[in-house]
This record gives sequence, structure tokens and C-alpha cells, in this order.
Amino acid sequence: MAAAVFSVLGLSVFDAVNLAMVTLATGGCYTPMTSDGGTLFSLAMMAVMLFSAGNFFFYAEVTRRGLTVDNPGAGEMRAMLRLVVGAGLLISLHLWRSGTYDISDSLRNGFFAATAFLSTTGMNPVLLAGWPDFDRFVLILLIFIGGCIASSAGGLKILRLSVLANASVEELRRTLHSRMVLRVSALGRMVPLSMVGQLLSFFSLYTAVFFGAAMALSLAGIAPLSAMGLSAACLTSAGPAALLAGDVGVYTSMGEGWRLFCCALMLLGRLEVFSFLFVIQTLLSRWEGRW
Amino acid sequence: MEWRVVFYFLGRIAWVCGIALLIPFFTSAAYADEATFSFGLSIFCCILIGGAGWKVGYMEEGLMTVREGIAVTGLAWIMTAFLGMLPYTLGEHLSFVDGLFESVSGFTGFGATVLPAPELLPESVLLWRSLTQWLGGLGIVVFFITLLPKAGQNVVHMYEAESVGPTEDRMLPRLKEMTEALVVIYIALTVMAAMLFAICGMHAFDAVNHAMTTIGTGGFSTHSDSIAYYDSIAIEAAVTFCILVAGVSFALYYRVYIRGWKVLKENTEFKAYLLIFAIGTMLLWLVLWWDGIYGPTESLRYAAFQTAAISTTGFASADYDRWPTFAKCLLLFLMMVGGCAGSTAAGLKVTRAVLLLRMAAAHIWQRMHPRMVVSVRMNGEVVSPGVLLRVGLFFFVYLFFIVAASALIMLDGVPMFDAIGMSVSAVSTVGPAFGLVGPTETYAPFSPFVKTVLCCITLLGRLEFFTLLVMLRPDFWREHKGW
Repeated sequence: MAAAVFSVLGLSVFDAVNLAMVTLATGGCYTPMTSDGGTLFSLAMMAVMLFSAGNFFFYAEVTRRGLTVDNPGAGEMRAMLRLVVGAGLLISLHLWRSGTYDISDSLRNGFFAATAFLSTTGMNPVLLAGWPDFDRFVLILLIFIGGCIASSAGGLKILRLSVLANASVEELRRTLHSRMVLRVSALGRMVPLSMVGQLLSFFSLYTAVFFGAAMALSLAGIAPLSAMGLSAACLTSAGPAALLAGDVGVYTSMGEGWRLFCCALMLLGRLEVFSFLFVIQTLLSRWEGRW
Repeated sequence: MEWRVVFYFLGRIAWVCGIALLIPFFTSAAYADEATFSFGLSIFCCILIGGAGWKVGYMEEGLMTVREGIAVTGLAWIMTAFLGMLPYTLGEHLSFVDGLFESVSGFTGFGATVLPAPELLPESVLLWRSLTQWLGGLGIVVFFITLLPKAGQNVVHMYEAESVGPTEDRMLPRLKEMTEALVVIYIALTVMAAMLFAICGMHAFDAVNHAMTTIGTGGFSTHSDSIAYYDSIAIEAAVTFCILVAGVSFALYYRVYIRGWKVLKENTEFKAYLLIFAIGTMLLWLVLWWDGIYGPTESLRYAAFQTAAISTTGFASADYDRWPTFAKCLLLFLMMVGGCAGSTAAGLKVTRAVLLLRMAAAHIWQRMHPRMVVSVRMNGEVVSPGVLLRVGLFFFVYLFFIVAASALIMLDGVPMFDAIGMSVSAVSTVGPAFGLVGPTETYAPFSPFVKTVLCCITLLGRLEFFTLLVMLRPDFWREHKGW
């Protein structure tokens, strides 16, 4: 469907098929040549990127039962749309206020960038070269947030962060009522405390891996911000994001050993840290068993 | 909300602040500098506010609840910041915002300054700067409880609202006895540091000031070049040692006094703290030496000092902003970790960092063996899931505020890495960071907006977020509902 839309909008069949594949998979490697292809094209791209960042179980449920109120993924989908609108407006307003673009270009580029980075697809970093640091920072935050669970997007995922945010608010209430029983709900669902604990473990490990990798990458001789950007990009599977924080030549300037390190980091991010460490732990224990 | 109780305690805390101001007042009189009048006026303001609190306030057993305790502690820190600002602004040394920034930076132990040349200030004002860090280091409420003639159950909530760390670290059953023990340890350490600095060659006035800001893990110096001014290995070694001492839980010192040195061997946090220092120093030493920034001995000297200083006080013995990228990333990480819980250092705290890592490791282990009962241990004891949850949520809130403050600072046009460094430094109350706020720079050039953001974020970081955040909830201020 995406390929057909892109083809109708003027892309060759080959380009349309490729673009559809990389956009739906939130890969992003085709976006450099297409992100300045006119308003209609931008809207089509945004729609596909939003679709790919959405909860696929939600779509399955919609196909089976239609749009119902009790669809378990509806809350997260609404939160994602609110995030895109909020971040898009914030970036657009700042781009316009800082004089980077006029109002219409600010809106178009702001919303496109917000969608592209929330879905961890990324977009042409050359287009972002003149953007103020604030907007780039918001985009980096968006790739950390990522899309919905059960989507092709990377990042921490909206549902997880929503649970942690709600749990923090509950903890704030417990400051006043120390004997209060903590009840955490997120996006219309009750979350057991054991699940909150697991999410916190995941979050702390994810952050530790991000900082550890950034520190290791800084040994490659790149600037601190480039190291952080690269670490974030590899972990969240949003390649072009690496160039948001640092210099454009960051990938080419590194040695092969560091590129291998980035490969491991990408796998770590794609398998969501725990699974990757689980595989390593299993391999190690098997190796230990041979002795 | 029982407002009369809040006013009662705020008034008395204002008097305690006035008592503290007497020290620089008499110093000013002794040195016959121009600050005597401004200190006198500041003391008068404290007396007035204290008098108003005495007149309006009322206290009886049982009136103070958690709500009032939090309100008193939160408002006391804000009020003290404003009272601490008076000598700077009334003496026309700084503007209103700059004075407030310097005062908040002092009481919270942030240690960031807007003064390009502190040595030009009168000695009494320099002493007041250092004194704010010393008082704020242990906590205003702790000093207040110690000075109270009778401290019953009422002040427990105030103490708990100010105390930092993931668990209650009560070393004595009675709160007043405990705060008295803490103050005695604090004074003893400060005297030891002052003597050590003086022996190493520091001028007596400087030694007293640096001892207060070192043990309070603040980082204010009487010289614009900080510790680099002395260019002395002996002084740097002494400061490094004292910083390390100040970064350890004071309750642990009391336990060592009671039960002997074996307590240190059993304490996970203390061992982790020393391990972080050792690994940080070694990595920094290797990088500085490998990159040819300094020779092997000088690299070790600067590495050890900066590793200890950046995690707590924010002193500088060299311009680390010129160091390699890895060194900067490592320093940023150390800034976040901070010192031990129950010490004067802020930041995430070593105990939380250890618990977070053990939590993650336990979770991986649990995934591998789903039927296994996995527990997280600290000091040989199982940590309850409730404490682990609080630690995790604190970490989440801590990162949230770093991110939010960075974004707000960037709105004012500050470059991204500098803004991130500034917010990490502010939340962890370190002081200097990188780039525009590197060790050779001050916070003077920034707009009042950035300074206000930093003041708020530093106060939040010092009181570990929840105390001040809960005061922002509208239902916090509502009257109790009666049945």
C-alpha cells in the first residue's frame, strides 16, 4: 500500500518499493533523497512512518473488530499522536521564532522531523544542519521515547515510559502518605508492581548501556556529543540520529574496530538489551560447563 | 495545612540564620571592611522575620504532621536562600538574581559562582559564602534541630523531608542525639581539614574557608583559579583526602567509632565508593598520559584530584575542559554518581548506583531462571522491593529533570553539550561543567532565565526532588478534611 502511494506521488516503482520497505521498517536509509519532495509527499511519508510506529496488535484488533473503545492498544496510540502533535508544534514554533524558516516551512519541517524521529526512522541530517540546538535535542529525546510497543520502531517505547511516569507521580503521592499502597496505571491499564520493577531494571540497564557505550565511543577520538549521539543512534536503531548531535562525518571518521562495536550496540538495542545479555550469559554458562 | 506551625518553625529558622550571620558580621567588624552595615541589616531582617514567626506561629505536640514537616523544610530552604542573598545585594556586590544564585549555590553546595574574581570581595563576605556551603552541606534543618532546646517527635518529619539517600540511616534512636552526633562529627572533620590545609601551606583564612567548602562538598574557593591557584601537590593531596572523607556517610563514621574499623569492610557502599574513585583515577590517569597531555606523575596528580573533586565539590586543579573526549565523558559520569548516601555530597549516590546495577543483574538472572527467587542484597541484607522501586523511580525522576533543565537552558541559546553538563552539574550540585561553564569560567554571563532555572533545579536536586515537588500539588496546601 505504501509503495503504491509513493508510486502515485511520482516515485519510480523501484524507489517506491524500496522506500516503502525502509519506511515501514523504520530503517530510514532512503529518506535523504525523499524528505524534501513536496508537501503531499511529506504527508504521505509521515502517515507511513506513524503507521509503522503504531502498535501492530492494535491494527490487528481493528481489522478483526473495527475501531472499539476497549482496544488494548488504543491508549498508547492516542499517546503517540499527542506526542507527535506536541513535539511537532514545539519544534515548529521554535524554528519559526528563531528565524530558521517561515511559518509554513516551520510547520512542515517541524512535524515531519517529529514524526521521523519518534518513529526512529530519521531524516536527512543535512536538512537539520542549520537547526538550533534546542530542536535537535528534542529530536534526540524523541528517538529515545520511540514508538509504541509491538511496532517496528526502536527506543524505550511510549507505554514503558508512560508506566514509569505514572509510577513516579504515585511515588510523589506516597511522600505525603507513607503507608499508601502504590497503584500504578498507565494508558487505561493497571500495571502490577512487579512489572514496574522490571521496567525500572530495563530502564536503568538501558541508560547504563547508553552511557557506557558513549564513554567507550569517546575513545575513538570523536567529540563527546558525537559519541552520545552515536550511542543513542545505535541503541534506538535510528542511524541518522547520530549526526544530529555531532559532526556529519562521524561514521566515516571511525576505525573498523569501532564500527564493529557499533554493530554490537545495534544488536543490543534491537534485541532490547536484556535479550542480548541473556544470549551472552547463556553462551558463557555453556562455555563454563565445558570445564 | 496548619499554617501556624509552619510560621512557628520558619521564624525560628530565620533566627538561626541570623545567628549564623553574626559570624561574618563580627569578622567584618574585626577587619573593618565595608560589609559590616550590610551584615547588620541582614541580621535585622532575620530578627524581623523570626519575630513575625514568633508572633503568628503556634506549636503544640501532635500538630506537626508529614505535610507540615515537608512545608517547613521546603519553605525553610527557599527562605534561607533569600536571607543568604541579603549580604551580597545589600552590600551591592551582586544584583538580585546574581545574589540569589550565589546564595542558592552556596546553601545547596552547588558551588557555581557568578563572581569572576572572588578575591576582590571583603573577607567577611568570602567567609559568608563558605559558611553557607558549610551550613547547607549537613542541612539547615539538622543544625536547627541541634540548636532547639527541646526537639520531640514533631521535628522528625522535617528531618525526613531534608534527609537524602534511599533508606533511613538512623544511627541513634533519638533524633536530637543523632543530629548532635552528626554536628560533632561535621565540626571535627572541618577542624581536621582546616589544620591539614594550613599545615600544607595554605593561609589560615583560606584554610578555614576551604575546609568548610570541602567538608560541606560545596566547592566555593576564595580564589578565582580554585585549588589550581596554589599549584601545590601537598595541598591537592590534602584536599583530595578531605573530599573523599566528606563523601562518606557520616553515620558510618559513628559506627566505626562504636564498633571499630571492621564496619568499613562490611559496608558495600563504602567499598563501591572507593572502587569508583580508584577506577576513575586509573582510567583518567591512563588517558591523560596516553594522549600526552601530562607526564605520568602529573597525570596521576590531576587524575586523582579531579576524580574526587568532580563527584562532590567541583574544585579544579587544572583546566579539564582541554582534556580528551573520554576524560570529559568520564567526569560527566562521575558527576552523576556523586558520593555516599548520608554524606554532604549530592548526585545520584553510590548506594543507588549499586542498587540499580544489582537490580538489573537480578532481573537478567530471573529471566534465565524464571522459577528462582532472586533477591538484591546490600551490606549482606536483602533489600525490600519497595526500596528498590523507590531507587528506580528516583533515577527516572533524576534523569527527567536533567533532560528538562537541559532543554530549558538550550532555549536561551546555550550549546547542547554545555547545557547538558550544566544541568547534570546543577542537579548533582557539583558546580563547574564544560565549555561555557568550564573550570576557568563563571556563570555570570548567563541570562536571569538560565540562572533561575539553575537555582530551581539545584534546590530540587539538593532536596532529592520529592520534597519540593510534592509542594507543587494543589492538594498539598488544602485544609485537612475532617470527619
